[in-house]
Amino acid sequence: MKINDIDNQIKEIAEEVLELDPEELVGDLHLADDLNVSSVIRLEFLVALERKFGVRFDSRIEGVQRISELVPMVETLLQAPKS
Amino acid sequence: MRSLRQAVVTGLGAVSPFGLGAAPLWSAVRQGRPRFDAYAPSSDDLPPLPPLLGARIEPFNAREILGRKGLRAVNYESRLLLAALLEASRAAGIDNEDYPPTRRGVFMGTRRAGLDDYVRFHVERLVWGPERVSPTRGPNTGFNAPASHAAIRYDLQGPNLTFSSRGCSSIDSIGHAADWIALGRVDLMYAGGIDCLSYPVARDRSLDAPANEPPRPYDRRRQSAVPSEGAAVLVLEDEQIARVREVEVLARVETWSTAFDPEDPARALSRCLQGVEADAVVASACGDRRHDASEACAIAQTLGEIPVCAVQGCTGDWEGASGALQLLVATHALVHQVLPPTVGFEEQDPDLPELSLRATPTSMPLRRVVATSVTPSGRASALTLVRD
Amino acid sequence: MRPPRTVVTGLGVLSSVGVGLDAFWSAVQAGTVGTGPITRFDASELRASQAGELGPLDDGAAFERQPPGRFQRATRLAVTAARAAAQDAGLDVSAVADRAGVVMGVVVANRPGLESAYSRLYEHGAGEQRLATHEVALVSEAPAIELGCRGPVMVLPTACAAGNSAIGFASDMIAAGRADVMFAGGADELSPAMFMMFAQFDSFSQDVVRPFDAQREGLILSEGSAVLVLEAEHHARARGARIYAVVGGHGNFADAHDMTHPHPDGLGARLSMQAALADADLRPCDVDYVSAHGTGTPANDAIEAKAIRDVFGAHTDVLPVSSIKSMLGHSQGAASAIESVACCLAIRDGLVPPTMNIRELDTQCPIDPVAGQVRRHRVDVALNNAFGFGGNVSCVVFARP
Repeated sequence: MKINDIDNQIKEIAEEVLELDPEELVGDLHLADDLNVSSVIRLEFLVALERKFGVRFDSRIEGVQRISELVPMVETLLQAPKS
Repeated sequence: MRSLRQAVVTGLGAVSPFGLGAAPLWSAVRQGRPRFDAYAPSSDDLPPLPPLLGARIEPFNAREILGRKGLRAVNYESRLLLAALLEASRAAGIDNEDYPPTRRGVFMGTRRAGLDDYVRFHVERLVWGPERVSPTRGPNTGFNAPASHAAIRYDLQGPNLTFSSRGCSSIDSIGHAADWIALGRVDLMYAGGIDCLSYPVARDRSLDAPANEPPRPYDRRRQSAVPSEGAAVLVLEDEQIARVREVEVLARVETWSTAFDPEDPARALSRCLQGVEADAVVASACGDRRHDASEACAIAQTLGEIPVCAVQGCTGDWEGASGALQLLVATHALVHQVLPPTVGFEEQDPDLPELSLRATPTSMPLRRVVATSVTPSGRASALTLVRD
Repeated sequence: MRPPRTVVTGLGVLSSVGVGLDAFWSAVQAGTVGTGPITRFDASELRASQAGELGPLDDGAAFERQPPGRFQRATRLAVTAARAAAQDAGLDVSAVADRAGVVMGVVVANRPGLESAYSRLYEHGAGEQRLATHEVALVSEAPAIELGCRGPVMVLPTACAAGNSAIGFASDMIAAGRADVMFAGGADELSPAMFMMFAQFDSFSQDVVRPFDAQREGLILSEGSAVLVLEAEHHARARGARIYAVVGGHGNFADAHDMTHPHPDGLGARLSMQAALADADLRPCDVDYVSAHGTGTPANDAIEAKAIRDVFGAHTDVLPVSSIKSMLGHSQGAASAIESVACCLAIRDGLVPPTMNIRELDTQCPIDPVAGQVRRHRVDVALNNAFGFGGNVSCVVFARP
């Protein structure tokens, strides 16, 4: 899957789970500070990404708050050999 | 002697199969226009259900009513409750400056809140594994979620309780809320009930021989209750503050009582009705054979020849929210001086005492209306509203 | 006319450290830790390894009028505790049936049994499990039938504040003259669903519960039940009943903040403690013991300690505050009912239960946690805290009769 596809799919899920309109999803957004996303909604978002991409985030996801950081994380997990 | 503090009803709100708002609900009940249909709640990962006769709330745009944000973590039944509560608050003209946050609270009655989410939470585990269940769903599996969401969204820092006593749940939540106002612990209470016809409830109903016709409260041919769903909220506030606010007092809570008698539910309700004075009854009869029989016996025995309306003939069975529905209808009956008809009743059951039921809305002088509730398990509750 | 006071005349308890009043209380005094590996179901998939379990349930004697096999575990726990409490109170309910009620607090109540039914439905497309046995109202109706209570019968499912909510409701029923006797408490069993929920919020400790400890990791779920017999004082005195304590008052204010996080300033906790004391007509300096909610999660304990300091000020320095959840785990709807039993026994015996497993007190929790060992200390007034998801809070004051 290309980076662009991942990015687009993450944004699609962000719109749904974070209750955002597409025009709100521009720039390098911080979930808590810019979007006022609560910790439980952040978890919901991460679970939705895991389901969508069939991946499992590890402990490195702790503290990740920027959507821009999620794209390479998902990409890395998708490239990793399935154990 | 009347105590100094009295709880009065100043606002009503509802979401029902008749639409958003207390007005369409009252209109349908007053005119006796039911809205039963065959349908089946579904669940993505569970077997489909056969269509079931019932009354269902039409899908509604929660964002439009409740605001654009913050609904993701609020489950369906809580959204219904929030919509009903918001309407009731507006109808009562509540301005947040009227009451500090710690002087306003919420008591809700429910039989099933959280059941659908509990089941879905478990099924998500089966589909996705325990690590990928929905984090927002967990807290919504609790009975207390609707009242908690209400407190969080509308900054109700005062008392917050959830009551579960089958069909009596919301008569009990409203009665106890009135007690707390009278005790001076709180000034403003949103009190009511919420229950939904979800997949697990419909599945359970489908395992009986489901009703094949609308309910017939007290009727000789009645078969069973017909499922329905709804949320109803009454604004209760301290009478003196309501007078100062110059808001219209719709009714005052006069008495509430509750009792239990597993051998004879009618006896439990009769005990609740001891000493009650009323001009009419808004009853809980839902077309269930035992339920209706107990209620008819208790009413006839204690209140004699009194006009009775069984509202769930029109709405279907609201379960834990039925008491709030009955008290909403009772309030409207007092305000409009009209007793609604009992839809579905046609033929007297020779085994039951004769009740004074109407086929059409009837104008009559009404000062006091009592809402009654009884369950085949032996619970009973009654609450009297008076319009001074 | 003053409303009648509510007194406690009977106690029944089933806990992970002991079943029965004496077993429970001696285990608490000994600092026995009742949590351990989960055995009640296969937990290999779950991100939790520990639980507080009751072991095999011997409840045949508690059921005289109904077959116990008809009921889910939470209901059976409720009946067993209610029967024990009635016996402890030496109360013949039949003499006051219409004036006697039952109120129970629960979280999940009879729902856990639905999980296997829905697994069958998901896997095989069929299953005939009915909802009737999972009805929450049974947690109060079944004890009412066993004991012959015909007054107010209620369930208050107010999350983890439920046990205290039930005691508050019961004392209101008595004060309002709606009942002379109320059996009040809480009951819950363990469920994989609650393990999944708390795991997602990373709320679990993987070894033991360490309330107020600097390195505390979280809570451990447990099961149990407790019932207190509450009576109008005149009723108890007239029959010469032994009185453990007076229910002085209770307070219930919501956090109105978040479904899963306590209010950062402990708003509901502070207001509820203050309201309970005001209801009891007592000052903060009158309190001799606080039974903390003390789940062992980082957020709860720090915020609770702060709220306690806000309420008690300098008196906090000489105020023992302990959490028996360090031994029992968190028994959900039963938790604050069991802790209420501990408060009554603390008053009776002049003993404050310890908080076990503390290695180093968190500086964020500037309270005296009675670490490691039971303490001889006269208790005339005990305050019991209970907080739940959704911001439900309930605090109850018990006082020497």
